[in-house]
Amino acid sequence: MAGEIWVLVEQWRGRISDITYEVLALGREVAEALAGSLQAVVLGPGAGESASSLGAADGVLMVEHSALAEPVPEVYALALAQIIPQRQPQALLIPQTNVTMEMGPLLAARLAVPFLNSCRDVQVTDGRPVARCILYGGKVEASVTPQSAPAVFGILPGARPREQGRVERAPAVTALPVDLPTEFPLRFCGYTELEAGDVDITRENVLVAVGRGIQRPENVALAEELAAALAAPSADLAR
Amino acid sequence: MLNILVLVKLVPDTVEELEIAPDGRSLDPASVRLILSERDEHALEQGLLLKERYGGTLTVIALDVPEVDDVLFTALAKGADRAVKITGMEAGPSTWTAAGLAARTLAAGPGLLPADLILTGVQAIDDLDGQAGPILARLLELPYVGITCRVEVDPGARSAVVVREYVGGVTGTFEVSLPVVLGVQSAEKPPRYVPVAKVRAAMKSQRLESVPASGESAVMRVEILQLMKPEATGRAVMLDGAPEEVAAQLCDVLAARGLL
Repeated sequence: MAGEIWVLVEQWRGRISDITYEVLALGREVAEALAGSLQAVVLGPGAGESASSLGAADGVLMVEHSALAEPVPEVYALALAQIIPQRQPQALLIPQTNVTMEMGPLLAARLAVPFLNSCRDVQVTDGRPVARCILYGGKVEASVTPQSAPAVFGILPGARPREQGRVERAPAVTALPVDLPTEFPLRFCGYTELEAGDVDITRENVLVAVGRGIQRPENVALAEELAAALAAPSADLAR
Repeated sequence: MLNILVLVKLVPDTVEELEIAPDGRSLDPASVRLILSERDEHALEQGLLLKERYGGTLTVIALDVPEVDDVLFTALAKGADRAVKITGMEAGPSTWTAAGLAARTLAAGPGLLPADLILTGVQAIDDLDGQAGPILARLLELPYVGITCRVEVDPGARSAVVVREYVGGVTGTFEVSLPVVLGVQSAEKPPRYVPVAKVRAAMKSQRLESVPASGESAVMRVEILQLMKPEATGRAVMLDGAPEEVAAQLCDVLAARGLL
């Protein structure tokens, strides 16, 4: 179906990641500029239960399969490669995080379609999606457009405010079939939490961070004092 | 005995001020000094650690670009057995093109495939249309694990246990059959230092192999319309004065933003 913009819903360890809502907000703008419909793509067993906060989308495309229980990029890319030809979306926006990083390139390589890496924005110019991609550690930005559709965009965190894309409404759900093998050369064995005290910087509202400017380890105490006063965690970023 | 391949690439050193060329769509070559991509340095280190642990040979492979000889001789000095440059291609901005070329050349180059492990950096600062690891894995029809920080191989079982980094200190463990392509985030140890004298010795005693790029160059599927420097926000504010005054100013700034 022409004119669909898809957003891959990132789910990790039982919850929809915040970046999903950021990308939905961005996808909403792209879909409107292209006069298309916005579809949230949810993969995994029990995928239908996650639809209630995806109201920014016009519809939810659901792929339920036991092989999709964990976001293993190889397996997700294979499932996406099967459903894209069924509906021929114009664009697929994939959150680019440590959960999803290689899904886009794997998928694009499978389907021989364009992939745009590290996009911090996508706008529509003359009827074409044009991404702003970060290059050279942020020293340069490139405006880049895919030469054919469907195109896959890897969207970095922070493209839009997450509140903008979080709408408590369950859109109509369409189930799509996939045919996945029962065995993969790759098997997910489980997660390990690192020692206590590590800060998940993606989940904190206030964060005190120090870099090389702190100069000496003993000075970190100053930052920790500030963090305690602010009731924020502190992270040593001077790696 | 493992056959380990490490694919590395050179990227612009961002310590230098990068300038955009008059065409507006590429970097001014005069502003670019190429260095080994940071993640590829970790891929090489991870490969060397695996070679030392399980035995085997390590071949480091790179596209033939300026400065590549220094990088390859350094890899030999660190313990790589062979160093191969892929010649006869133009360095371009496309990771897709480069990875495609590497995949075809690996198949054509002498004694490179079959490999047990193909390592490369998980990403590079000039990745515009993909990341080398997943593209290479797809083209060679091998499994891929990215963002790796630990690798253990069971040579008898032809399998590996690979640890992948997520966020907040969480890691995930994958079991994968060999051969496999790995996108290395960080090696288990910091990349080793090799003295210049040892690199010079490698230059005298060892040689680099050249393999011509084979096959058609893959077409880039994205078009760069324009490169630009990010807009300076001008929002940085310097706080001056005695520590007490600076602290008071800082408190005001935080309070004004509702952080206190």
